[in-house]
Amino acid sequence: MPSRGDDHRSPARRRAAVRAALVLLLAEPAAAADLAPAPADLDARAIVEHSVDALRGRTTYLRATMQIESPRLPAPRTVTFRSWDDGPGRRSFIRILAPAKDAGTGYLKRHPTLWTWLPRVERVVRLPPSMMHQSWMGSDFTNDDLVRHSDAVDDYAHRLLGVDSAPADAPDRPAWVVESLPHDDAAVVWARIVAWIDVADAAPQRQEFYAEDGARVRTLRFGDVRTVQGRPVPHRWSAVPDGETGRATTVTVEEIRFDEVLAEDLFTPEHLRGRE
Amino acid sequence: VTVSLLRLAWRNVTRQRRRAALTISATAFATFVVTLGGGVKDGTDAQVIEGNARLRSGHVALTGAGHRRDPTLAHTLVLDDALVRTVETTPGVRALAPRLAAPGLLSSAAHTAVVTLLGVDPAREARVSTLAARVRAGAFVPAAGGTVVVGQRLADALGVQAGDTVLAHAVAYTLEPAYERYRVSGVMRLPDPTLDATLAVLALADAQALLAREGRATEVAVLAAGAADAPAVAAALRTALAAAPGEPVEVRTWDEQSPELVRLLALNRAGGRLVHGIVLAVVGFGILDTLLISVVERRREFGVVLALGLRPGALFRLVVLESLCLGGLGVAVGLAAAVPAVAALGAWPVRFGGELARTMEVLGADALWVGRLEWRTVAGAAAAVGLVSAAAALYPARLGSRTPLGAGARRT
Repeated sequence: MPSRGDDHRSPARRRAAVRAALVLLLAEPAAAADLAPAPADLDARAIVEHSVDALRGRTTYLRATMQIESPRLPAPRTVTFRSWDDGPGRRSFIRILAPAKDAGTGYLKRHPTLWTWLPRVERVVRLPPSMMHQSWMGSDFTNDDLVRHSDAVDDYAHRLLGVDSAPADAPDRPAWVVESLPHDDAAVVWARIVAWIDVADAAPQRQEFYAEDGARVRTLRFGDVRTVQGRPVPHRWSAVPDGETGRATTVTVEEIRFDEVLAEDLFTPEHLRGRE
Repeated sequence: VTVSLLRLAWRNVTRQRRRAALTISATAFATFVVTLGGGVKDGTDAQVIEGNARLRSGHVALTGAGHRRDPTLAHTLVLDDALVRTVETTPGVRALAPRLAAPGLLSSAAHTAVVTLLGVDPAREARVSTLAARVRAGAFVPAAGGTVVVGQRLADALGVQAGDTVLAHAVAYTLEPAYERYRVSGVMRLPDPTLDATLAVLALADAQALLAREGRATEVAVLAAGAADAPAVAAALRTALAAAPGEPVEVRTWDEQSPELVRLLALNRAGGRLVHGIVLAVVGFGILDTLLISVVERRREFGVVLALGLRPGALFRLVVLESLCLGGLGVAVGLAAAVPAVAALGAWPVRFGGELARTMEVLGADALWVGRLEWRTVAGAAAAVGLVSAAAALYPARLGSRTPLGAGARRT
């Protein structure tokens, strides 16, 4: 069964290591130097809270298409789904609409438990907590991303690193750069998150996720910002994992509505077992 | 001169029979402890290594390129007749077992567990691993498939037994959710508690269909005559596979495959050496003490022979030879007792319990004291005790050889 590598002295590996060191040497100071100091009276937590509002209301209804690209796939895999999220109740519901093979598959979260409905075998499976950080539907988003098990605001301590006057993804839209470190007792996988948040409207631009060993694991990018119910809502979310060339997942929001009153029976096992 | 010195030394040794017997017993005891300890270590190590190979990846494992760095379905090898033929016809290969492994979930009506789904070819698997032999209730996966065999702890966690139905759930190679129902055909008892709580074995064809990896394997476990043959068989396989057409295949021996086991065995061995070192030191000081007394007792005698013209160097050699005579006898007696004891433990291993037994189980081996006679261990023990006997004699010999010439005359 799998175990550690042994060829760390090979020339190819050494060249890669030297290249990585060079990239780090050149990139790190440049990135840091680009940041202008932020006003001292700004509250990093408030900025994060604000940016979360762009994607999430008290309740959120969403219809979206997710496209998964991978060297494994001859053509990108497309998944269409609808989701309902009840923020204060810490409840979520997702129903897969397409492809036909997966249509009807459902996810129900009532904090802290996540169930999935597998229509072909007509079974509800309660997913173990460790699955929260696993891939959702084979994508580069995790179950946690989709059902918001952890809390982007309360599970972390936030620190404003500065202002990026010309972010790589949107050079004409300056962004706050906020570093979030998890609280000791928070059930999260990330050791560090660095977020770029639009100075003008607090819409999220980019989030970088780091592992325990300091390596970046994944980058989320947000684009196509449109105003919905007065909120600047990114309609395109892309996730690119590090270290896996050719992999990317893009979610395209087709419809999003905030703060509607959601039916109580939406978040029930009976509904999970049903079909839309 | 040396022969007569040796004769003299022997006569001196036999002059004090009780003291000689005591020194010989101490030396024999040290030899016995070090030889038996080493023999049991050799036997237990061999058993742990073999148990690990038979529970996991065999003596030599073949994987697709990159699988070690990223052990996922992304790195598999093409499992075709050509590969099987190439491996089977490589000298030293006794048997091979192709496997397809992936993480997944296994659910009963009430519970879900995180598992490793392991697809195996039942007929080939039985010749390589002990999985099939470890089934305690029901039967191993039949050739036709459709069933799953789980560890006892996994069965307990799910609340299932042979005959029940479970649902396997994973992400296929195509990144689609994959799930299928299987009947539990058997429950196996695996020595490693983690494996026992997480391993779900199904037919290779079922795993390939579920995970959308038809005609592929994550690993081919190869069995050689023994762990010692692994490097030669691996080298032969590398040559044979490099010459064969197709995607690159990585070949690794059991120790390259399980470096943590190698480290653990080395650490354990170092601990054993420390204990043996302490035993040898204690015995060494015992010999030193006895020799010192015998030298001091013979001051008059030594003074006389030196006065008569015996060279101090010859006297020095005499004392060392006396010690070597005692040491040699002790080693002979010790080996005479230890070698049959090690051989007996090889034939009739002794089961033990406690914390150590659990450690052995985690390693995949049975908790047994097994002996194994290896000439290197036996020779090493004899040489170590011999060396200690000689070293312990140095100071008394020096003291004796420097006895003042008139030491005997000043008696009254």
